[in-house]
Order: sequence, then C-alpha cells, then structure tokens
Amino acid sequence: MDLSIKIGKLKLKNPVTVASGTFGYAEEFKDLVKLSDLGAIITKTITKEPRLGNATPRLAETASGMLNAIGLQNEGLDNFIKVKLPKLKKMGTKIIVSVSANSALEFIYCVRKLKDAGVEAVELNLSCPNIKYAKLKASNNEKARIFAQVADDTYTLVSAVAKKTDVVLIAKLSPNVTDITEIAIAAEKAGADALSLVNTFSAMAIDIDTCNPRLANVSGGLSGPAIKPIALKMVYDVFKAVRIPIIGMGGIMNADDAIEFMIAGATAISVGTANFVNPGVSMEVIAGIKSYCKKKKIENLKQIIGTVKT
Amino acid sequence: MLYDLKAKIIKNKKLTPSIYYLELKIPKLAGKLIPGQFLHVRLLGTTDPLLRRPLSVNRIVNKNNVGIVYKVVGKGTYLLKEMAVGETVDVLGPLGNGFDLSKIENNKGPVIFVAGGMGIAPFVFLAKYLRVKKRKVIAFVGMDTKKELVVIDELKKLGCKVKVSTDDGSRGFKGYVSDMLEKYLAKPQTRIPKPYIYACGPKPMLKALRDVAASYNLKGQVSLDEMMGCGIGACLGCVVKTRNFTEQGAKEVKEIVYKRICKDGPVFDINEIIWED
Ligand SMILES: Cc1cc2nc3c(=O)[nH]c(=O)nc-3n(C[C@H](O)[C@H](O)[C@H](O)COP(=O)(O)OP(=O)(O)OC[C@H]3O[C@@H](n4cnc5c(N)ncnc54)[C@H](O)[C@@H]3O)c2cc1C
Ligand SMILES: Cc1cc2nc3c(=O)[nH]c(=O)nc-3n(C[C@H](O)[C@H](O)[C@H](O)COP(=O)(O)O)c2cc1C
Ligand code: FES
Repeated sequence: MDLSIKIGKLKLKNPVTVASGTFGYAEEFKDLVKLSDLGAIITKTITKEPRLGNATPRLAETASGMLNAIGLQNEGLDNFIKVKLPKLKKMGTKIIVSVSANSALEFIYCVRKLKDAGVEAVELNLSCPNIKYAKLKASNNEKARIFAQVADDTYTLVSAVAKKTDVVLIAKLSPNVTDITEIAIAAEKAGADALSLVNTFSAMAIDIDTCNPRLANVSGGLSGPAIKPIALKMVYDVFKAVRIPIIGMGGIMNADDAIEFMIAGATAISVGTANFVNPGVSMEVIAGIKSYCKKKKIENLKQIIGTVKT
Repeated sequence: MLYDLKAKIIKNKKLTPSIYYLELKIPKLAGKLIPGQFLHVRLLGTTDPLLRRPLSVNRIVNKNNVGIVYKVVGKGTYLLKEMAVGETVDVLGPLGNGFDLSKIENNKGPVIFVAGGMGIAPFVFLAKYLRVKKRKVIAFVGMDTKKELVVIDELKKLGCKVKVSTDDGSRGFKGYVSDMLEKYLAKPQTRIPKPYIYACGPKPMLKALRDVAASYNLKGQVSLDEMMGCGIGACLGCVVKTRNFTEQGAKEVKEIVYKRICKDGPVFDINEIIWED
C-alpha cells in the first residue's frame, strides 16, 4: 500500500499534515506524536518582523468549535531561521513554513530567505482573519480586505512570489468569501503548486452577563468540528474548479473525517484544532487511513481522492 | 515527559452546593507532579465541550491518585460533576512549571498563601511540601461566602494558620482577601523576618495583591488563570504580558513579551507580570 502523495515537487510519505498555528513548532508535541511519521509539519505563521499578537482573551469555546484571535504572534523571520528551523529540519519529515506579509515585496523577501535557509515548501497565509490588512493597490478605494477575499490580490501576491522564487508554493485560502472557486482559480493561474483550504471562519461570541464580546479582538476565527461540513463543501467545489492539489482542513477530528475530505477532493489533509483536544490524533489519523485502505483494498491514494459519486 | 492517559474516577463528591472533589487514579502521573502544576482534562465521547479543561492538582493520595477540587461554572464542569465513580476521563500532564520553591530556601521568614476563590486548589499540595520542609505557613483565604469555603481543614491539618475573608462577611474578615492581608502586614512585627508570598486567584485579586506586596517590598509568585486551548504551549491562546524584571521589582518596562500561561507558567514572579492593559 502506498500512502505517499505529491504537492508540486514535494513528496509526502503520507497525506497527514498538521495545520499552521495548531502545532506550534512541533517540539511541543514530541512526547505525544512520532513526528517523523507525519506527512508534513506546517509551522505557525511567521512574519518578517516579530509580532506581539492580540490582547487576551484570545480564545473562546462555542458549540463543537472554538474561536481564536491570536493575531499571528511570532518571533519574526530571522529568529525563526536561527532558532526554530534547525530543530524542525531534524524532525525527520517535510517542513512547510507558513508565511504572512503585507506586500508582494515582503512576501518575496521572506520566501527567498527561507529558501536560502533550506526550506523546500512555503504556505502563503493569505487568509488570517485576525490581523489588519494593507491595501495592495493605491487606486483601490475599497476598504482593505483579507488578501484571499480578493481574487486580484491573491493573484498579485502568488504570482509575484512564484515568479521570483522556486519553492513549492501553497496558497492558504479563506472561507469568508462568496465563491471560493474564483479565488482558487486566481491562485492556480498565478502559479501556486497547491491550495490549503480552509482557514478559520470569521465569527464571534458574546458574554450575556457583561455584554462584552468574549474575545478581546471582538471577533475571531471559528475552527473545529462545527465547520467541517462547510469546509468539506469548499474542498469539493474547488476540486472541480482547479487541477492543482488541495490540502483539505476544517474540523478533522479522526481518520473518517480525513478520508471524507480526500473523497471530496483533497490530496492531503491538515489536522488543526483536534491537536488541542487529542494531541496524538495525527498518529490515529494515519493509522486509520491505513486500515481503511487495507479494508477497501486500496493500493494508491489516487483511488480515493475526489471519488465522491456525484 | 508529557503523558496523555485515561484516568478512572475514584471519587467525585460534593463539598458544597457548587464545589466538588474529584479523585482520579493515574499511577503513571501521580508521582511526577509538583505543587502548582495542572492537568488538562478531557471529557470523552463528545465534541461539546470540545476543548480540555485545565484543573490544578489539589493533592496526591496514596501515591497513585490525584485529587482535584473544582467549581461548577459552565458546561464542562457541569458534565464532570455528573460523572460516576468508575467512569473514565482523559488527562494530559504534568503541565505547567509549578511553584518555585528554591526562592524560599534561604529565606527564614514565614510563607504566606493568598488564595481567592478556586485559587485555593493548589495550596493543599503546596502545604504538604512545605510541611515536610518544616516551614511556617499562614494561609489567607478569600471566598464569596462561607458556604463556599473548602479544604480549609486540610490546610489546618497540614499546619497552616488559616485566615478567612468572605465578600459577604459570613465568616472571618468582611471584604477582599488582599485587604485582609494588607491589614495584617500593617503590623511591623509580621514582616520580621520577611514573609514570602505564593498566590493564586482571579486577576483583579492578584493585581491588588501586587500593590500590597509592593508597598511592603515583599517578594512572591502568582499562579494565573486564562482560557486555554492546547495546554502545552502550542496555540499561544493563553498568554500574559510580561516584562524583563529584576528581583528588586524593576518598574521600567523595557521589552514586553507575551508568555504562555500553560507552559512558561502558570506560576510567575509577581514582578514579572504587566497587570495594566
Ligand atoms: C492552570 C489552571 C488551573 C485551574 N485550576 C482549577 C481548579 O483547580 N479548580 C477549578 O474549579 N477551576 C480551575 N481552573 C478554572 C477552570 O479551568 C474553569 O473553571 C473551567 O475550565 C470552566 O469550564 P466550564 O466548561 O465549566 O465553563 P465554561 O462554560 O467554559 O465557562 C464558564 C465561565 O467560566 C469562564 N472560564 C472558562 N474557562 C476558564 C478558565 N480557564 N479560567 C477562567 N475562567 C474560565 C468562562 O469565561 C465563562 O465565563 C483552572 C484554570 C487554569 C488556567
Ligand atoms: C489557535 C489557532 C491558531 C491558528 N493559527 C494559524 C496561523 O498562524 N496560520 C494559519 O494559516 N492558520 C492558522 N490557524 C488555522 C488552522 O491552520 C486551520 O486552517 C483551521 O483551524 C481549520 O482547521 P481545524 O478546524 O482543523 O482547526 C489557526 C487555528 C487555530 C485554532
Ligand atoms: S493553551 Fe495553548 S499555548 Fe497555552
């Protein structure tokens, strides 16, 4: 049985990755997860300069889900390359570095530095709902939006990085859009090797005693089982619209959920919030996919990906 | 080393109308815990509540069991109180740094506990440690009302002198525990030799305590509480603003750093925290 899959030039030994921001820099999980067994580790998003992140409370729980507004707290690119990256490289699996930036130039700067430091694959986080965005075009009178909410912006950023660098490029998209396939097509045209979908859903919760929002940031991103059916539909729609591979995520709690995403069209999957609930879940997902394949006599994951009968 | 284990419920009994004592059989973990650490408890078989709940280690029983004292405040603790002896929860631990006892080794003064509400939870375990070291302990315990007072007898049995305050005056000092402490410390003889403070409770109480400690130039540690996601330092959900500080309690904020309460804490030096927003 062959569980390996390819994301552009990047070959993963299995389709199970851990979602950006939900697995730290992996060392936090080393006692509970055999890191070298993971298909890939997607790191917490980093930015060129260190970011302090948002005020607290940053988390709130909702029915079968959670809200977060971390605000991309990180120690900055240079520190990441100096301190975190050398450790990540020794973990025995593929490392995908998630990056956020304010402009095409800043994205190129970060990706080039990462490439020079030996990084093979980068996820462009165009979709964090908890930070302020810059307007990319001076002529544009509209308010600044999440990059992945605007097809033009997505195209501009992805194509700039694709032209100037040659890492494996994954664009992480936002579900907070009217039609995610338009954005997905823009990213594909711009030269993305793959798409990660989805990031969290913009959402809020209110304390009815104090009338205060439960997050200091007022709103945050919803993740967990509550979003799974919506995320699944987005993967299904995008699979029909593009040819590049999809890394599917959103509420995956176990192997069955992961397989469901693959049947909908995901080549690989990311486990996110579930890592908080059950830190060893990624290992269970890998084992579960194996036994599913055995039971169904599946030799290669291509026999599953996108096979939903519609 | 972190463990994620199934733990059988040995006891789950009511102490007051809203506070319960839970005892879990976790032989693999029980011997590895220190005072001030916590466990991240997951209710199995549901995604609502989804996340684990952080609960302090209240005591170790018979080397194999971990005792927890919890208050029912919402969905998770409500479901927990409904669980029967013999049922299983999942625990992740040991988590957090625990109280730093090295700081009192060369200090001859008494140890002062300041506990607000469920902040009382970790102090039984800590009192046991200090008992072994033959330290004099005075515990200042604040609660809403006398009906909610728990584990006071255990503290007394462990040799602590206990001083109680209640918000409604139904027992002991009427008012805040920080005010009770202030009144106590106002007498100079209570400060010779200098006491050292360990505190746990809601943020406003700890902030008031910081002011009391500063006015008498006392040192100490505080254990903080925040909504938690992972509990292991990965999600950056549970942070607190801290500064570089000196033992003398530098006022100057040179560099603000968000530290993770679950991993870098929950116990911090009282001077390290930036309480103001
Ligand atoms: C390190 C640590 C140790 C703790 N130890 C104990 C303990 O020994 N005994 C005990 O009774 N409680 C303890 N707590 C608090 C306990 O974790 C919360 O009361 C519990 O998670 C509430 O869960 P719930 O589902 O019942 O309430 P929810 O329905 O989640 O929330 C009910 C209310 O409590 C608030 N709340 C939820 N979680 C927390 C939290 N972590 N801190 C503060 N407020 C919260 C919510 O904002 C809401 O207002 C500890 C917290 C931390 C961080
Ligand atoms: C606490 C938290 C932090 C996150 N941080 C990031 C991040 O830094 N970058 C990013 O691209 N996505 C981030 N995400 C989104 C996840 O990677 C994932 O897209 C989303 O949570 C949906 O998957 P899930 O439901 O399995 O968690 C974060 C999610 C959570 C819950
Ligand atoms: S709860 Fe995740 S970092 Fe503390």
